[in-house]
Amino acid sequence: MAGTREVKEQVFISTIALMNVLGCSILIAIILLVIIEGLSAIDLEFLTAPAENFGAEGGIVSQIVGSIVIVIGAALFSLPISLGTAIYQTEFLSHPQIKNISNTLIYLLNGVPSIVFGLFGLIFYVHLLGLGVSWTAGSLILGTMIIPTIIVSIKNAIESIPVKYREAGKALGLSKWKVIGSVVLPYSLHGVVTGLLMGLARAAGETAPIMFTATVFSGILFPSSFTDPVTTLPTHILYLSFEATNPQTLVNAWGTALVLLTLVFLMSVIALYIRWRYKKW
Amino acid sequence: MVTNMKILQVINFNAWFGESHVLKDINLELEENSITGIIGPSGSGKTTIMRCLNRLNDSNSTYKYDGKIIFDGEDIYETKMPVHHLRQQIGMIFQVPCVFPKSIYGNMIFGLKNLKLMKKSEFPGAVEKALKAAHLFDEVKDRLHEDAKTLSVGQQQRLCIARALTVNPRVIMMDEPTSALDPKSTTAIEKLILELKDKVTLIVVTHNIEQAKRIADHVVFICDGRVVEQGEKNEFFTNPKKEETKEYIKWTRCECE
Ligand SMILES: Nc1ncnc2c1ncn2[C@@H]1O[C@H](COP(=O)(O)OP(=O)(O)OP(=O)(O)O)[C@@H](O)[C@H]1O
Ligand SMILES: [Mg+2]
Repeated sequence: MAGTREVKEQVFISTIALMNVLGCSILIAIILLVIIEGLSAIDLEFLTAPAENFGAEGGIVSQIVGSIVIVIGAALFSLPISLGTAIYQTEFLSHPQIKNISNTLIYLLNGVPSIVFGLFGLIFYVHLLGLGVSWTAGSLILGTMIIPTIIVSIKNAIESIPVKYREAGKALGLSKWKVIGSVVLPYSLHGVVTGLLMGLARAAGETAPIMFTATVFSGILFPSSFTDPVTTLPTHILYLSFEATNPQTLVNAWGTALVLLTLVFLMSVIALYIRWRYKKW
Repeated sequence: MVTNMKILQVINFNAWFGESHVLKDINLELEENSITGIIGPSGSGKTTIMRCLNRLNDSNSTYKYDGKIIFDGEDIYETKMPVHHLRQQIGMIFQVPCVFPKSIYGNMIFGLKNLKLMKKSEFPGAVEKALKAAHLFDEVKDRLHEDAKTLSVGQQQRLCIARALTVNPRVIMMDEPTSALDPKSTTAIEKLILELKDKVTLIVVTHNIEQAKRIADHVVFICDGRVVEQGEKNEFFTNPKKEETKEYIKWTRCECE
Protein backbone atom coordinates (compact mmCIF):
# COMPACT_ATOMS: atom_id res chain seq x y z
CA MET A 1 0.00 0.00 0.00
CA ALA A 2 2.69 2.41 1.05
CA GLY A 3 4.43 1.63 -2.23
CA THR A 4 1.51 2.67 -4.41
CA ARG A 5 1.01 5.81 -2.37
CA GLU A 6 4.61 6.75 -2.90
CA VAL A 7 4.32 6.08 -6.60
CA LYS A 8 1.16 8.17 -6.81
CA GLU A 9 2.89 10.95 -4.98
CA GLN A 10 5.88 10.76 -7.29
CA VAL A 11 3.65 10.86 -10.35
CA PHE A 12 1.81 13.85 -8.95
CA ILE A 13 4.98 15.75 -8.14
CA SER A 14 6.46 14.96 -11.56
CA THR A 15 3.29 16.17 -13.24
CA ILE A 16 3.23 19.53 -11.49
CA ALA A 17 6.97 19.89 -12.03
CA LEU A 18 6.37 19.34 -15.72
CA MET A 19 3.61 21.97 -15.70
CA ASN A 20 6.00 24.34 -14.03
CA VAL A 21 8.68 23.75 -16.66
CA LEU A 22 6.10 24.03 -19.41
CA GLY A 23 4.72 27.30 -18.03
CA CYS A 24 8.15 28.84 -17.66
CA SER A 25 9.27 27.66 -21.09
CA ILE A 26 6.25 29.20 -22.78
CA LEU A 27 6.95 32.48 -21.04
CA ILE A 28 10.62 32.39 -21.95
CA ALA A 29 9.78 31.39 -25.52
CA ILE A 30 7.45 34.36 -25.90
CA ILE A 31 9.97 36.79 -24.50
CA LEU A 32 12.77 35.35 -26.63
CA LEU A 33 10.61 35.46 -29.73
CA VAL A 34 9.72 39.10 -29.12
CA ILE A 35 13.35 39.96 -28.54
CA ILE A 36 14.66 38.10 -31.57
CA GLU A 37 11.96 39.21 -33.96
CA GLY A 38 11.80 42.70 -32.51
CA LEU A 39 15.51 43.43 -32.56
CA SER A 40 15.61 43.12 -36.33
CA ALA A 41 13.19 46.04 -36.60
CA ILE A 42 14.76 48.29 -34.03
CA ASP A 43 17.33 50.91 -34.89
CA LEU A 44 17.72 54.56 -34.07
CA GLU A 45 15.39 55.61 -36.86
CA PHE A 46 12.67 53.22 -35.66
CA LEU A 47 12.76 54.84 -32.23
CA THR A 48 12.95 58.45 -33.41
CA ALA A 49 10.97 58.71 -36.65
CA PRO A 50 7.21 58.79 -37.17
CA ALA A 51 5.47 55.96 -38.94
CA GLU A 52 5.12 56.08 -42.72
CA ASN A 53 3.33 54.08 -45.36
CA PHE A 54 0.79 52.65 -42.85
CA GLY A 55 3.49 51.54 -40.48
CA ALA A 56 5.47 49.59 -43.02
CA GLU A 57 8.18 52.24 -42.98
CA GLY A 58 9.46 54.86 -40.59
CA GLY A 59 9.38 54.45 -36.86
CA ILE A 60 7.17 54.63 -33.81
CA VAL A 61 8.15 57.82 -32.05
CA SER A 62 4.61 59.14 -31.93
CA GLN A 63 3.41 55.84 -30.50
CA ILE A 64 6.06 55.98 -27.78
CA VAL A 65 5.13 59.56 -26.97
CA GLY A 66 1.43 58.75 -27.13
CA SER A 67 1.78 55.83 -24.73
CA ILE A 68 3.82 57.92 -22.32
CA VAL A 69 1.35 60.80 -22.46
CA ILE A 70 -1.64 58.57 -21.88
CA VAL A 71 0.10 56.75 -19.02
CA ILE A 72 1.17 59.98 -17.32
CA GLY A 73 -2.39 61.22 -17.61
CA ALA A 74 -3.64 57.99 -16.07
CA ALA A 75 -1.15 58.41 -13.21
CA LEU A 76 -2.20 61.99 -12.52
CA PHE A 77 -5.83 60.96 -12.41
CA SER A 78 -5.59 57.70 -10.48
CA LEU A 79 -2.99 58.59 -7.87
CA PRO A 80 -4.89 61.21 -5.86
CA ILE A 81 -8.11 59.21 -5.99
CA SER A 82 -6.41 55.99 -4.91
CA LEU A 83 -4.39 57.69 -2.19
CA GLY A 84 -7.47 59.44 -0.86
CA THR A 85 -9.52 56.25 -0.88
CA ALA A 86 -6.79 54.20 0.78
CA ILE A 87 -6.27 56.78 3.51
CA TYR A 88 -9.97 57.18 4.08
CA GLN A 89 -10.43 53.43 4.34
CA THR A 90 -7.52 52.80 6.67
CA GLU A 91 -7.65 55.92 8.81
CA PHE A 92 -11.24 57.08 8.96
CA LEU A 93 -13.54 54.21 8.11
CA SER A 94 -14.04 52.24 11.30
CA HIS A 95 -17.35 50.54 10.57
CA PRO A 96 -16.32 46.93 9.87
CA GLN A 97 -19.24 46.14 7.55
CA ILE A 98 -18.76 49.21 5.37
CA LYS A 99 -15.06 48.39 5.29
CA ASN A 100 -15.86 44.89 4.08
CA ILE A 101 -18.24 46.09 1.42
CA SER A 102 -15.80 48.62 0.05
CA ASN A 103 -13.01 46.03 0.05
CA THR A 104 -15.19 43.63 -1.91
CA LEU A 105 -16.10 46.37 -4.36
CA ILE A 106 -12.46 47.15 -4.97
CA TYR A 107 -11.65 43.49 -5.65
CA LEU A 108 -14.64 43.19 -7.96
CA LEU A 109 -13.61 46.33 -9.81
CA ASN A 110 -10.19 44.78 -10.27
CA GLY A 111 -11.78 41.83 -12.04
CA VAL A 112 -13.82 43.84 -14.52
CA PRO A 113 -12.60 43.08 -18.08
CA SER A 114 -10.80 46.04 -19.56
CA ILE A 115 -13.13 46.23 -22.57
CA VAL A 116 -15.94 47.03 -20.15
CA PHE A 117 -13.96 49.99 -18.88
CA GLY A 118 -13.61 51.03 -22.51
CA LEU A 119 -17.33 50.84 -23.02
CA PHE A 120 -17.98 52.77 -19.84
CA GLY A 121 -15.40 55.34 -20.92
CA LEU A 122 -16.99 55.69 -24.33
CA ILE A 123 -20.33 56.51 -22.81
CA PHE A 124 -19.16 58.52 -19.84
CA TYR A 125 -15.94 60.30 -20.74
CA VAL A 126 -16.15 60.44 -24.53
CA HIS A 127 -19.82 61.30 -24.93
CA LEU A 128 -21.27 62.46 -21.64
CA LEU A 129 -18.29 64.60 -20.63
CA GLY A 130 -17.81 65.49 -24.26
CA LEU A 131 -14.10 64.73 -24.38
CA GLY A 132 -14.44 62.99 -27.73
CA VAL A 133 -11.97 60.37 -28.86
CA SER A 134 -8.94 61.84 -27.09
CA TRP A 135 -5.92 60.95 -25.02
CA THR A 136 -7.64 62.60 -22.05
CA ALA A 137 -10.50 60.11 -22.33
CA GLY A 138 -7.93 57.29 -22.62
CA SER A 139 -6.04 58.51 -19.55
CA LEU A 140 -9.24 58.71 -17.55
CA ILE A 141 -10.31 55.22 -18.62
CA LEU A 142 -6.94 53.61 -17.92
CA GLY A 143 -6.71 55.61 -14.69
CA THR A 144 -10.11 54.32 -13.60
CA MET A 145 -9.09 50.81 -14.49
CA ILE A 146 -5.93 50.78 -12.36
CA ILE A 147 -7.37 52.52 -9.30
CA PRO A 148 -8.08 49.20 -7.52
CA THR A 149 -4.51 47.97 -8.04
CA ILE A 150 -3.09 51.16 -6.58
CA ILE A 151 -5.53 51.25 -3.67
CA VAL A 152 -4.75 47.68 -2.68
CA SER A 153 -1.01 48.29 -2.81
CA ILE A 154 -1.25 51.47 -0.73
CA LYS A 155 -3.59 49.84 1.77
CA ASN A 156 -1.28 46.86 2.18
CA ALA A 157 1.62 49.20 2.82
CA ILE A 158 -0.35 51.30 5.31
CA GLU A 159 -1.66 48.27 7.14
CA SER A 160 1.80 46.83 7.50
CA ILE A 161 3.11 49.92 9.30
CA PRO A 162 3.75 48.75 12.86
CA VAL A 163 1.17 50.19 15.25
CA LYS A 164 3.93 51.38 17.55
CA TYR A 165 4.94 54.16 15.14
CA ARG A 166 1.45 55.58 14.99
CA GLU A 167 1.15 55.34 18.74
CA ALA A 168 4.53 56.93 19.32
CA GLY A 169 3.35 59.81 17.12
CA LYS A 170 0.03 60.11 18.90
CA ALA A 171 1.71 59.91 22.29
CA LEU A 172 3.81 62.94 21.37
CA GLY A 173 0.64 64.90 20.79
CA LEU A 174 0.31 64.74 17.02
CA SER A 175 -3.16 65.26 15.67
CA LYS A 176 -4.72 62.68 13.41
CA TRP A 177 -3.71 64.61 10.30
CA LYS A 178 -0.18 65.06 11.54
CA VAL A 179 0.10 61.33 12.15
CA ILE A 180 -1.10 60.74 8.59
CA GLY A 181 1.36 63.28 7.24
CA SER A 182 4.42 62.27 9.20
CA VAL A 183 3.93 58.57 9.89
CA VAL A 184 1.36 56.98 7.59
CA LEU A 185 2.33 58.63 4.31
CA PRO A 186 6.11 58.50 4.56
CA TYR A 187 6.10 54.91 5.81
CA SER A 188 3.78 53.72 3.05
CA LEU A 189 5.40 55.65 0.22
CA HIS A 190 6.96 52.47 -1.19
CA GLY A 191 3.44 51.03 -1.51
CA VAL A 192 2.25 54.15 -3.29
CA VAL A 193 5.07 54.04 -5.82
CA THR A 194 4.93 50.27 -6.28
CA GLY A 195 1.17 50.26 -6.75
CA LEU A 196 1.31 53.15 -9.16
CA LEU A 197 4.04 51.55 -11.28
CA MET A 198 2.31 48.17 -11.35
CA GLY A 199 -0.93 49.84 -12.34
CA LEU A 200 0.77 51.91 -15.02
CA ALA A 201 2.60 48.87 -16.36
CA ARG A 202 -0.77 47.27 -16.84
CA ALA A 203 -2.28 50.43 -18.31
CA ALA A 204 0.57 50.85 -20.79
CA GLY A 205 -0.12 47.45 -22.32
CA GLU A 206 -3.89 47.76 -22.64
CA THR A 207 -5.46 47.93 -26.06
CA ALA A 208 -9.14 47.20 -25.69
CA PRO A 209 -10.28 50.12 -23.53
CA ILE A 210 -8.51 52.78 -25.56
CA MET A 211 -8.75 51.62 -29.16
CA PHE A 212 -12.15 53.19 -29.68
CA THR A 213 -11.93 55.98 -27.12
CA ALA A 214 -8.48 57.50 -27.33
CA THR A 215 -6.47 56.40 -30.29
CA VAL A 216 -6.32 56.62 -34.02
CA PHE A 217 -4.13 54.62 -36.34
CA SER A 218 -2.24 57.44 -37.93
CA GLY A 219 -2.53 61.03 -38.97
CA ILE A 220 -1.49 62.33 -35.60
CA LEU A 221 2.06 62.93 -34.54
CA PHE A 222 1.79 64.54 -31.13
CA PRO A 223 -1.36 65.68 -29.34
CA SER A 224 -1.59 69.45 -29.22
CA SER A 225 -4.67 69.76 -27.04
CA PHE A 226 -6.57 67.84 -24.41
CA THR A 227 -9.10 66.63 -26.94
CA ASP A 228 -6.64 65.29 -29.50
CA PRO A 229 -6.40 61.54 -29.97
CA VAL A 230 -3.01 59.82 -29.90
CA THR A 231 -1.41 56.72 -31.31
CA THR A 232 -0.05 54.25 -28.79
CA LEU A 233 2.24 51.23 -28.80
CA PRO A 234 -0.35 48.50 -28.09
CA THR A 235 -2.91 49.84 -30.55
CA HIS A 236 -0.15 50.24 -33.14
CA ILE A 237 0.68 46.55 -32.77
CA LEU A 238 -2.99 45.76 -33.27
CA TYR A 239 -3.28 47.80 -36.46
CA LEU A 240 0.00 46.49 -37.85
CA SER A 241 -1.11 42.90 -37.30
CA PHE A 242 -4.18 43.62 -39.42
CA GLU A 243 -1.76 44.30 -42.25
CA ALA A 244 -0.01 41.00 -41.69
CA THR A 245 0.19 40.33 -45.41
CA ASN A 246 2.97 42.89 -45.73
CA PRO A 247 6.04 41.24 -44.18
CA GLN A 248 7.73 44.57 -43.28
CA THR A 249 4.65 45.66 -41.36
CA LEU A 250 4.84 42.49 -39.30
CA VAL A 251 8.50 43.05 -38.53
CA ASN A 252 7.60 46.51 -37.29
CA ALA A 253 4.84 45.03 -35.16
CA TRP A 254 7.45 42.85 -33.45
CA GLY A 255 9.68 45.86 -32.99
CA THR A 256 6.84 47.79 -31.41
CA ALA A 257 6.08 44.83 -29.16
CA LEU A 258 9.67 44.75 -27.97
CA VAL A 259 9.60 48.45 -27.13
CA LEU A 260 6.32 48.01 -25.25
CA LEU A 261 7.60 44.95 -23.43
CA THR A 262 10.74 46.79 -22.38
CA LEU A 263 8.71 49.74 -21.12
CA VAL A 264 6.34 47.55 -19.11
CA PHE A 265 9.14 45.36 -17.86
CA LEU A 266 11.11 48.36 -16.67
CA MET A 267 8.16 49.69 -14.71
CA SER A 268 7.56 46.30 -13.10
CA VAL A 269 11.20 45.86 -12.20
CA ILE A 270 11.38 49.32 -10.65
CA ALA A 271 8.17 48.56 -8.76
CA LEU A 272 9.58 45.31 -7.40
CA TYR A 273 12.87 46.97 -6.53
CA ILE A 274 11.16 49.74 -4.59
CA ARG A 275 9.00 47.25 -2.76
CA TRP A 276 12.06 45.26 -1.79
CA ARG A 277 14.32 48.18 -1.03
CA TYR A 278 12.03 50.36 1.04
CA LYS A 279 10.46 47.78 3.23
CA LYS A 280 11.60 49.14 6.54
CA TRP A 281 10.27 46.35 8.76
CA MET B 1 -7.14 73.58 48.39
CA VAL B 2 -5.96 70.00 48.63
CA THR B 3 -7.56 69.03 45.32
CA ASN B 4 -5.54 71.70 43.55
CA MET B 5 -2.42 69.68 44.05
CA LYS B 6 -3.83 66.64 42.28
CA ILE B 7 -2.86 66.81 38.66
CA LEU B 8 -4.70 63.63 37.70
CA GLN B 9 -7.67 61.96 39.33
CA VAL B 10 -9.29 58.72 38.26
CA ILE B 11 -12.77 58.36 39.71
CA ASN B 12 -14.79 55.14 39.70
CA PHE B 13 -13.32 54.25 36.36
CA ASN B 14 -14.28 51.09 34.48
CA ALA B 15 -13.08 49.94 31.10
CA TRP B 16 -14.14 47.19 28.75
CA PHE B 17 -12.76 45.68 25.56
CA GLY B 18 -15.87 44.18 24.01
CA GLU B 19 -17.35 41.97 26.70
CA SER B 20 -14.29 41.70 28.87
CA HIS B 21 -14.25 44.02 31.84
CA VAL B 22 -10.59 44.95 32.24
CA LEU B 23 -10.64 47.86 34.68
CA LYS B 24 -12.99 47.80 37.65
CA ASP B 25 -13.82 50.76 39.85
CA ILE B 26 -10.40 52.33 39.66
CA ASN B 27 -9.76 55.33 41.92
CA LEU B 28 -6.40 57.06 41.78
CA GLU B 29 -4.98 60.45 42.62
CA LEU B 30 -1.67 61.74 41.39
CA GLU B 31 0.11 64.51 43.16
CA GLU B 32 2.05 66.94 41.08
CA ASN B 33 5.78 66.14 40.89
CA SER B 34 5.39 62.72 42.41
CA ILE B 35 6.17 59.25 41.11
CA THR B 36 3.39 56.72 41.17
CA GLY B 37 4.49 53.13 40.76
CA ILE B 38 1.93 50.69 39.44
CA ILE B 39 2.62 47.05 40.15
CA GLY B 40 0.60 43.95 39.45
CA PRO B 41 0.73 40.64 37.64
CA SER B 42 0.66 40.25 33.89
CA GLY B 43 -2.75 40.99 32.40
CA SER B 44 -3.92 42.91 35.46
CA GLY B 45 -4.60 46.07 33.49
CA LYS B 46 -1.53 48.23 34.12
CA THR B 47 -0.99 49.13 30.48
CA THR B 48 -4.70 49.64 29.98
CA ILE B 49 -4.89 52.25 32.76
CA MET B 50 -2.13 54.27 31.13
CA ARG B 51 -3.71 54.03 27.72
CA CYS B 52 -6.96 55.34 29.21
CA LEU B 53 -5.16 58.31 30.74
CA ASN B 54 -3.96 59.57 27.35
CA ARG B 55 -6.96 58.17 25.48
CA LEU B 56 -4.83 55.91 23.31
CA ASN B 57 -7.54 53.26 23.56
CA ASP B 58 -10.01 55.50 21.77
CA SER B 59 -9.09 54.12 18.36
CA ASN B 60 -10.08 50.62 19.48
CA SER B 61 -13.70 50.20 18.43
CA THR B 62 -14.41 47.64 21.17
CA TYR B 63 -13.24 49.98 23.94
CA LYS B 64 -15.89 51.31 26.33
CA TYR B 65 -15.46 53.17 29.58
CA ASP B 66 -17.42 54.49 32.48
CA GLY B 67 -16.37 56.95 35.16
CA LYS B 68 -14.19 60.03 35.13
CA ILE B 69 -10.59 60.93 34.58
CA ILE B 70 -9.82 64.48 35.64
CA PHE B 71 -6.66 66.10 34.33
CA ASP B 72 -5.87 69.56 35.55
CA GLY B 73 -9.47 70.02 36.67
CA GLU B 74 -11.07 68.87 33.42
CA ASP B 75 -12.69 65.58 32.54
CA ILE B 76 -10.50 64.29 29.71
CA TYR B 77 -13.31 62.40 28.01
CA GLU B 78 -15.75 65.32 28.21
CA THR B 79 -13.53 68.33 27.62
CA LYS B 80 -13.55 70.31 24.41
CA MET B 81 -9.80 70.20 24.40
CA PRO B 82 -8.67 68.18 21.36
CA VAL B 83 -7.30 64.80 22.29
CA HIS B 84 -3.88 65.57 20.84
CA HIS B 85 -3.46 68.47 23.25
CA LEU B 86 -4.13 66.06 26.08
CA ARG B 87 -1.54 63.66 24.70
CA GLN B 88 1.03 66.37 24.38
CA GLN B 89 0.64 67.07 28.09
CA ILE B 90 0.58 63.42 29.12
CA GLY B 91 3.57 61.80 27.44
CA MET B 92 4.08 58.07 27.21
CA ILE B 93 7.10 55.81 27.05
CA PHE B 94 6.53 52.30 25.80
CA GLN B 95 7.89 49.03 27.03
CA VAL B 96 9.96 48.46 23.92
CA PRO B 97 11.66 51.71 22.93
CA CYS B 98 10.03 53.02 19.79
CA VAL B 99 12.41 55.11 17.72
CA PHE B 100 11.33 56.20 14.26
CA PRO B 101 13.42 54.98 11.32
CA LYS B 102 15.17 58.33 11.22
CA SER B 103 18.34 59.88 12.56
CA ILE B 104 18.78 60.61 16.25
CA TYR B 105 18.19 64.27 15.50
CA GLY B 106 15.21 63.45 13.30
CA ASN B 107 13.67 61.58 16.21
CA MET B 108 14.32 64.45 18.58
CA ILE B 109 12.66 67.09 16.43
CA PHE B 110 9.74 64.87 15.44
CA GLY B 111 7.39 66.34 18.02
CA LEU B 112 8.77 69.88 17.79
CA LYS B 113 8.36 69.99 14.04
CA ASN B 114 4.85 68.60 13.99
CA LEU B 115 3.51 70.57 16.93
CA LYS B 116 5.18 73.79 15.77
CA LEU B 117 6.15 74.63 19.32
CA MET B 118 9.01 76.89 18.30
CA LYS B 119 10.93 78.30 15.39
CA LYS B 120 13.15 75.94 13.47
CA SER B 121 16.22 77.91 14.52
CA GLU B 122 15.45 77.03 18.12
CA PHE B 123 15.36 73.27 17.52
CA PRO B 124 19.05 72.53 18.13
CA GLY B 125 18.97 74.25 21.53
CA ALA B 126 15.81 72.43 22.56
CA VAL B 127 17.20 69.10 21.37
CA GLU B 128 20.40 69.61 23.32
CA LYS B 129 18.49 70.55 26.45
CA ALA B 130 16.24 67.48 26.29
CA LEU B 131 19.14 65.14 25.49
CA LYS B 132 21.06 66.54 28.44
CA ALA B 133 18.06 66.06 30.71
CA ALA B 134 17.96 62.43 29.60
CA HIS B 135 21.74 62.05 30.12
CA LEU B 136 22.20 61.07 26.55
CA PHE B 137 23.81 64.16 25.11
CA ASP B 138 27.46 63.22 25.66
CA GLU B 139 26.93 59.81 24.12
CA VAL B 140 25.27 61.08 20.96
CA LYS B 141 26.48 64.62 20.39
CA ASP B 142 28.92 63.53 17.68
CA ARG B 143 26.50 61.24 15.90
CA LEU B 144 23.21 63.13 15.87
CA HIS B 145 22.71 62.38 12.20
CA GLU B 146 23.21 58.65 12.46
CA ASP B 147 20.25 56.31 12.33
CA ALA B 148 18.64 56.06 15.76
CA LYS B 149 18.54 52.29 15.36
CA THR B 150 22.32 52.22 15.76
CA LEU B 151 21.92 53.14 19.44
CA SER B 152 21.82 50.44 22.09
CA VAL B 153 18.37 49.56 23.39
CA GLY B 154 19.08 51.39 26.63
CA GLN B 155 20.15 54.49 24.72
CA GLN B 156 17.06 54.19 22.53
CA GLN B 157 14.87 54.22 25.61
CA ARG B 158 16.61 57.35 26.88
CA LEU B 159 16.17 58.85 23.42
CA CYS B 160 12.43 58.17 23.72
CA ILE B 161 12.39 59.89 27.09
CA ALA B 162 14.32 62.84 25.70
CA ARG B 163 11.97 62.99 22.72
CA ALA B 164 8.98 62.99 25.06
CA LEU B 165 10.55 65.86 27.02
CA THR B 166 10.86 68.06 23.94
CA VAL B 167 7.12 68.71 23.82
CA ASN B 168 6.99 69.83 27.47
CA PRO B 169 4.58 67.32 28.96
CA ARG B 170 3.31 67.75 32.51
CA VAL B 171 2.93 64.04 33.10
CA ILE B 172 5.06 61.23 31.72
CA MET B 173 3.81 57.67 31.84
CA MET B 174 6.26 54.84 31.43
CA ASP B 175 5.13 51.30 30.74
CA GLU B 176 7.76 48.94 32.12
CA PRO B 177 10.47 51.21 30.73
CA THR B 178 13.35 49.00 31.82
CA SER B 179 12.00 45.51 31.20
CA ALA B 180 13.83 45.28 27.88
CA LEU B 181 17.07 46.67 29.30
CA ASP B 182 20.27 45.47 30.93
CA PRO B 183 21.05 46.32 34.58
CA LYS B 184 23.33 49.24 33.73
CA SER B 185 20.74 50.94 31.50
CA THR B 186 18.10 50.16 34.09
CA THR B 187 20.05 52.00 36.76
CA ALA B 188 20.57 54.93 34.39
CA ILE B 189 16.85 55.15 33.66
CA GLU B 190 15.87 54.84 37.31
CA LYS B 191 18.22 57.72 38.16
CA LEU B 192 16.72 59.70 35.34
CA ILE B 193 13.18 59.03 36.55
CA LEU B 194 14.07 60.35 40.01
CA GLU B 195 15.55 63.51 38.52
CA LEU B 196 12.57 64.10 36.24
CA LYS B 197 10.33 64.36 39.27
CA ASP B 198 11.30 68.02 39.63
CA LYS B 199 9.92 68.79 36.18
CA VAL B 200 7.04 66.42 35.67
CA THR B 201 4.66 64.03 37.37
CA LEU B 202 5.46 60.42 36.64
CA ILE B 203 3.60 57.14 36.49
CA VAL B 204 5.79 54.09 36.14
CA VAL B 205 4.44 50.62 35.56
CA THR B 206 6.78 47.90 36.67
CA HIS B 207 6.86 44.18 37.17
CA ASN B 208 9.77 44.65 39.46
CA ILE B 209 8.88 45.22 43.11
CA GLU B 210 12.41 46.30 43.99
CA GLN B 211 12.22 48.95 41.30
CA ALA B 212 8.98 50.27 42.75
CA LYS B 213 10.69 50.43 46.14
CA ARG B 214 13.56 52.40 44.67
CA ILE B 215 11.68 54.99 42.69
CA ALA B 216 8.02 55.34 43.69
CA ASP B 217 6.48 57.78 46.15
CA HIS B 218 3.08 56.24 45.90
CA VAL B 219 2.47 52.60 45.05
CA VAL B 220 -0.64 51.15 43.45
CA PHE B 221 -1.09 47.41 43.38
CA ILE B 222 -3.64 46.20 40.86
CA CYS B 223 -4.79 42.72 40.15
CA ASP B 224 -7.44 41.49 37.77
CA GLY B 225 -8.41 45.06 36.90
CA ARG B 226 -8.97 46.15 40.49
CA VAL B 227 -6.87 48.29 42.79
CA VAL B 228 -6.16 45.89 45.61
CA GLU B 229 -4.23 48.36 47.69
CA GLN B 230 -2.43 51.67 47.31
CA GLY B 231 -0.51 53.96 49.55
CA GLU B 232 2.61 55.87 50.37
CA LYS B 233 5.62 53.73 49.51
CA ASN B 234 7.04 53.01 52.95
CA GLU B 235 3.64 52.39 54.42
CA PHE B 236 2.76 50.15 51.48
CA PHE B 237 5.83 47.98 51.70
CA THR B 238 6.37 47.82 55.46
CA ASN B 239 2.80 47.63 56.53
CA PRO B 240 0.53 46.27 53.80
CA LYS B 241 -3.08 45.88 54.85
CA LYS B 242 -4.30 43.15 52.55
CA GLU B 243 -3.25 39.53 52.45
CA GLU B 244 -2.95 39.64 48.65
CA THR B 245 -0.55 42.55 48.88
CA LYS B 246 1.65 40.76 51.42
CA GLU B 247 1.67 37.71 49.21
CA TYR B 248 2.51 39.74 46.12
CA ILE B 249 5.31 41.67 47.80
CA LYS B 250 6.81 38.42 48.99
CA TRP B 251 6.30 36.15 46.01
CA THR B 252 5.26 38.45 43.14
CA ARG B 253 2.23 36.29 42.83
CA CYS B 254 -1.42 36.97 43.24
CA GLU B 255 -4.37 34.67 43.76
CA CYS B 256 -7.02 37.13 42.70
CA GLU B 257 -7.51 35.78 39.18
N1 LIG C 1 -6.81 45.87 22.72
C1 LIG C 1 -7.31 44.94 23.54
N2 LIG C 1 -8.38 44.21 23.19
C2 LIG C 1 -8.89 43.28 24.02
N3 LIG C 1 -8.41 43.00 25.23
C3 LIG C 1 -7.34 43.69 25.66
C4 LIG C 1 -6.73 44.70 24.83
N4 LIG C 1 -5.69 45.22 25.51
C5 LIG C 1 -5.65 44.57 26.68
N5 LIG C 1 -6.64 43.65 26.78
C6 LIG C 1 -6.91 42.78 27.93
O1 LIG C 1 -7.00 43.58 29.08
C7 LIG C 1 -6.37 42.96 30.18
C8 LIG C 1 -5.32 43.87 30.74
O2 LIG C 1 -4.27 43.99 29.83
P1 LIG C 1 -3.03 44.94 30.06
O3 LIG C 1 -2.24 44.94 28.82
O4 LIG C 1 -3.50 46.24 30.57
O5 LIG C 1 -2.26 44.15 31.20
P2 LIG C 1 -0.88 44.50 31.87
O6 LIG C 1 -1.12 44.60 33.33
O7 LIG C 1 -0.25 45.66 31.21
O8 LIG C 1 -0.05 43.18 31.58
P3 LIG C 1 1.52 43.01 31.29
O9 LIG C 1 2.19 43.10 32.61
O10 LIG C 1 1.62 41.64 30.72
O11 LIG C 1 1.93 44.07 30.34
C9 LIG C 1 -5.82 41.65 29.67
O12 LIG C 1 -6.73 40.64 30.04
C10 LIG C 1 -5.77 41.82 28.19
O13 LIG C 1 -5.99 40.59 27.56
MG1 LIG D 1 1.48 45.89 29.99
